[in-house]
Amino acid sequence: MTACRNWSDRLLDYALGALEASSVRDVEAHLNTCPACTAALVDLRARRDQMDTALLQLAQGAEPAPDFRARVLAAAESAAARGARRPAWVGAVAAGAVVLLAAVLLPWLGEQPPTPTGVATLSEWRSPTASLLRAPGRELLEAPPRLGELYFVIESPPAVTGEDKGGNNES
Amino acid sequence: MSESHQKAMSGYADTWTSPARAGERNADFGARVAESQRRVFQVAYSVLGNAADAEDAAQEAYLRAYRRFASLRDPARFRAWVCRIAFRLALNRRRARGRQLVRDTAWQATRPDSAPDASDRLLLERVRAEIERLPAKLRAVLLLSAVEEMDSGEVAAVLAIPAGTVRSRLHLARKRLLEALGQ
Repeated sequence: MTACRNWSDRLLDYALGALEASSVRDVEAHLNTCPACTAALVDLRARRDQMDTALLQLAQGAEPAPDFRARVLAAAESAAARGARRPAWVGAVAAGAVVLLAAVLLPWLGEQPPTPTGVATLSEWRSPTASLLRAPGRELLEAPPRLGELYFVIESPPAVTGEDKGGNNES
Repeated sequence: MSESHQKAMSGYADTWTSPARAGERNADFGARVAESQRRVFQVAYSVLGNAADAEDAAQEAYLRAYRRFASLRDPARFRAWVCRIAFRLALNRRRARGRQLVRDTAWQATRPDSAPDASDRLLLERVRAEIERLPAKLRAVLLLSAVEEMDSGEVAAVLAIPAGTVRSRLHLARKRLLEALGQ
């Protein structure tokens, strides 16, 4: 039998025991007055039991073979034996690789000139604006005259004396 | 080679090559396998749905555990770790096989002493088909929760999700399955 449309979802939760106490009271109050939902709940509970039984059969029905443990242990022992043999040749190959790497890298490292560190390079670096600031007229820009002063002091030419005039005539 | 170095090396070699130590280690490992094999197999089986693939995944998980056995001596920790590895290996195998993955029929999966009749077989096939239609996250929680004696905490450990998430997904999965079986 079909449950009332508004109650079908809550009936599912009720059948699965997933409702809070207040909702359980609401559902049970409705069930007392609705034969259709009561019949639907009976169906749901029967189906739930079938579902749970089937789930258990599907998940727990299969068993590992009787010799599974023996096979696992044999495989583990075999893997351990392979692991125990491995260090002899793995170690030899690794040592050879280290010697070869050293033979290639050491001469190359010895020829390299000492390179300045980044800090040293930065400490010697000067901004290009420093040379621009040494342009002519720098003093004028750095010390502008105060009120009543002049930018330039023009010196008057030296006065011409009589000796200079006479000397010229004599020559 | 210094004396202390020689001593350390001989101790290392003894751990791995001494027959007495190896025998002790294998006996200990064998005991762990015996007590956990059923669950580890069923975790893999819940994902793969056939015994042959489930055994392969479970065996590979045990081999990985064997390599790390020194740090997994605690039985509870060992079982949880192997279950998690078996689950992931089974998922990888399932993805790799895709449509080629052959599942045991539902009645092959059941125990011989409880062989179902025709109507039960139909129901089992129907339930399995509906489980396959569930989203992967819901399906994993539903099947792992059905594995014998696995509570929400253990399922959470295998899936690396909170136990509360396991409970909410389990309810949603059962609700959808129950709804689907009524149609």
